[in-house]
Amino acid sequence: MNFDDIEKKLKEDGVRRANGVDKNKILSKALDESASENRGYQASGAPASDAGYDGRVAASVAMPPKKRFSKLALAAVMLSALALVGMTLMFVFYFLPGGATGKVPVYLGMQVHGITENGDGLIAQSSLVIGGDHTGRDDTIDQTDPFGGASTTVEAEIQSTLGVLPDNKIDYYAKQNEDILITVKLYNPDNYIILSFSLNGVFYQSYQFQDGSDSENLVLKTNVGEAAGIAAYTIDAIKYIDGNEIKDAVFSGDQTVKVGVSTEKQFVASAAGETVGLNSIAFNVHITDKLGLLELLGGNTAAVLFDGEKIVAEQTLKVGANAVSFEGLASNKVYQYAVYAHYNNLSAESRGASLNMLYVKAVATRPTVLFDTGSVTVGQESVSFALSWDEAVGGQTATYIDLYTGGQKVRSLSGNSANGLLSGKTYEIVLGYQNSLDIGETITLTFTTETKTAAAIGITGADATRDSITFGLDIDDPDNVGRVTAAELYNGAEKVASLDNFDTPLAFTGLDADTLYRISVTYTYDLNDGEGTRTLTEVCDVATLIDPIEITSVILVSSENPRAGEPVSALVGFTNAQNVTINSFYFGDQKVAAEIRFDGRAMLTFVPEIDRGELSLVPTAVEFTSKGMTRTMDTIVSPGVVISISITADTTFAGFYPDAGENTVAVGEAYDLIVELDNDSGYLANRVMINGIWYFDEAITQFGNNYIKIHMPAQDTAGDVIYNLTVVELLGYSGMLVFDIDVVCTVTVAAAL
Amino acid sequence: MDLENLLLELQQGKMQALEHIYVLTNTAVYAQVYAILRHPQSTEDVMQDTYFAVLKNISRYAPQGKPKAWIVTIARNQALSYLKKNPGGQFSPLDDSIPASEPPEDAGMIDIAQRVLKKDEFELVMLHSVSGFTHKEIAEISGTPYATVRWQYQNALGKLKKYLEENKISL
Repeated sequence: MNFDDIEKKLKEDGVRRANGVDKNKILSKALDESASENRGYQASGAPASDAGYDGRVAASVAMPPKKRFSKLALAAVMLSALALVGMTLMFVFYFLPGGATGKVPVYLGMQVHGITENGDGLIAQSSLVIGGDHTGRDDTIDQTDPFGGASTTVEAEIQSTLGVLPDNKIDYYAKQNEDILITVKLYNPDNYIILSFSLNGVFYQSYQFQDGSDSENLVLKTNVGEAAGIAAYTIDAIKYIDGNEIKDAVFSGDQTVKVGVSTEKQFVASAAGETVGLNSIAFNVHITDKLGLLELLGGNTAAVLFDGEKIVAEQTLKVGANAVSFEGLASNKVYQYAVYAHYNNLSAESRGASLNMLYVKAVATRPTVLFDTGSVTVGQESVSFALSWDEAVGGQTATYIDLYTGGQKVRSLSGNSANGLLSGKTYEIVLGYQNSLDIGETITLTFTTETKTAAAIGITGADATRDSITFGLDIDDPDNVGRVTAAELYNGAEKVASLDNFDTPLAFTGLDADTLYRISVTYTYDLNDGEGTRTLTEVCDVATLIDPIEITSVILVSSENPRAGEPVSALVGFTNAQNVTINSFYFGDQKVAAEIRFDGRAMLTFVPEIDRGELSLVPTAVEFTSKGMTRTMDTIVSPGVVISISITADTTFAGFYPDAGENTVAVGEAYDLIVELDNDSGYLANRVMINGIWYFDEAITQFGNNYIKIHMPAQDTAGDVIYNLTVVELLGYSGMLVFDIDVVCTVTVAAAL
Repeated sequence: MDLENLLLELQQGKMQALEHIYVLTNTAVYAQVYAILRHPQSTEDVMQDTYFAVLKNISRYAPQGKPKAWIVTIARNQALSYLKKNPGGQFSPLDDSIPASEPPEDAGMIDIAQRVLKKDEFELVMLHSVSGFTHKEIAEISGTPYATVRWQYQNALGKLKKYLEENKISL
């Protein structure tokens, strides 16, 4: 097989594939999209009627013969190439030195590669710059999506118009300081030893060739250096060894390869001085081409104006300062202006000419009139606003101002405010005006009135006597949207009373004793939200009391002087006119279950919650159950019923020892002994017995609750004195507490200290 | 009527010329787009975009003696744009760093070339062998030096030939 066979098969396969594509589908869609465009084909001035292509019509058009790729031309090219090589070889053989038998090496060309592949991507990354002076309406424009999901972009529209740039003849694109491999290709069938070659005037010897070099491929590693731009490498001599002679190879191919060395931002645009009018957008842009690539490699730079669908204006720019102005635009409309450059930026990514977006910004042309959002005041039932008219507009008069809600017109407004609105409701104010071109336009202000707060109520302090119930109301109604409309009293389902005056405290009187009632309070309010009035009902159950329970007697049946924690028992007599079930009695805050005896009296047995002091055994309150309701009420006490007990704490002995530092005393020196107690009740010391002698009155001193100091007389003679404590008497709440103890301590009396 | 005149007719609003233009250029456009995208369905999509772009920009066309190059350049831009909009769309599993896999038995020559050749080589072969562009025209379209195009093309065919012989694939 030969190359011609392969090319033929490739061609056949390609034609088969291309013809397999549905032609009508391709062309129909192209024409459909074209017809929907505002510019393009029709903008060329062609009659619109011709745009109506369809596949059926097209199918009837006689097709011209297909232009077949000229095999003859290919053959001619190849023959020409062969002829060139052949002539070169003939030339070489003709001029070979005498005695030479091999074929002279022929230089065919050079290739450039990178050490590390710097990307196979073919698309340059656009440097989208979003910036500028964001003021006024610009703040409301989403610079990343100014047209809200447009089907095309300014970059795509620019891309579709780009033409073919001149051949750049760049063999390789490198980054600054990148190592590259230059391969010198030779025709060297007799494998002459290649000695050296000269590249840009520098000779490189064979030992400098890279691994992978052979007699027909001389690989040299070099660095493109710091300088950005186009680096050219020209080979001008190749030396080889023929026997004992060093000879020059013959040159046939292109002797120069070019490497594009890229830098970042070699082509930048800075925009300033933006002026946006009612019907115009203007700005200044300064374009810098640091490497002069536009002039060197061709291309163009321009500013375009995009309206979200198409490019509506374009202005060619030059390197340096440019004043850009787009006129005749619609007012109050978002446009996007862009500055681009189509040029070869020498980047490895694009590998040739590519579109570079240098500056993109969306702005809106000025509107004739706007609602001054800083002056819009929205209340719960009203709105007021101010208008901001463009100075260039004459008249500055709204043709109408209408109020809408939910798409329905509410009414027309005569001024810059509206009252009597519903709360929490969304409205639109539509203002009609004549723009600068005397064309009617509208602007709309959408707002939502503030909501009113719903009321809340609670029944507080409900209290009952035998025949009345009183209560208060806690009303939370910050926006004053309602009032109490009913306060009623129910006995079961039956309403038994209602009030006309709702001033607190509220009271129902003349009620039955021992009866459960339900208070029901209704609050009616209107939030002015179009939903009408609402009612809020709060209820509270209260029962009236029974006849008083009177304590007629209390008999103590346990100790009058119990220790803390010791149970106390009392038999309590009482009246019970309604013969209700008595559950418990209260002694202050302590609740004690009642054990009802056969004679109607109640035995109360309990451990007092206090650990010392006096406790009255006359119940202060009673809990009872009647008609299924359990309630508590205070008792009353018959005259003369008074009884109390005295509770003592559990006092204990803790120690007996000489006072601090007095274990040893001198002859004739008085000293003290200490009795230590655990005496939280604070009982007073009465007397103590030591060595059979009572010490009391001035002989003892109590300090704190827990210490009794016994003052001992001085000793006349030296020696150890042993003291035996046998009794401590304390004065309790209701009698003497006597502690029998048997403990000793020793004091040493020294003759001389 | 040649392609240049057909484009001028289209410029004058004679839409029937579009089909003639398509017939004369579809193989070249297909080859150029497929050479970049290497995916049949995506290629058809971009062919639609290409002929739409031809219509859209026909008013800008100025006769320079290279009508097919003008259309194929548009196709190339559209394919590159499509590739950019679909950054994950490296449609072919082929990666230059991965050894060529065995093509299917019914693979056409383009399938074989797609698997055997590097991207640049494949595009070059498609433009020359299928589209019918000369090496000089390819150099202008792709922005690659003429000598490099010629050299790479010979290398690419050499690779193909070697592959076919080693795998005993007859033509």
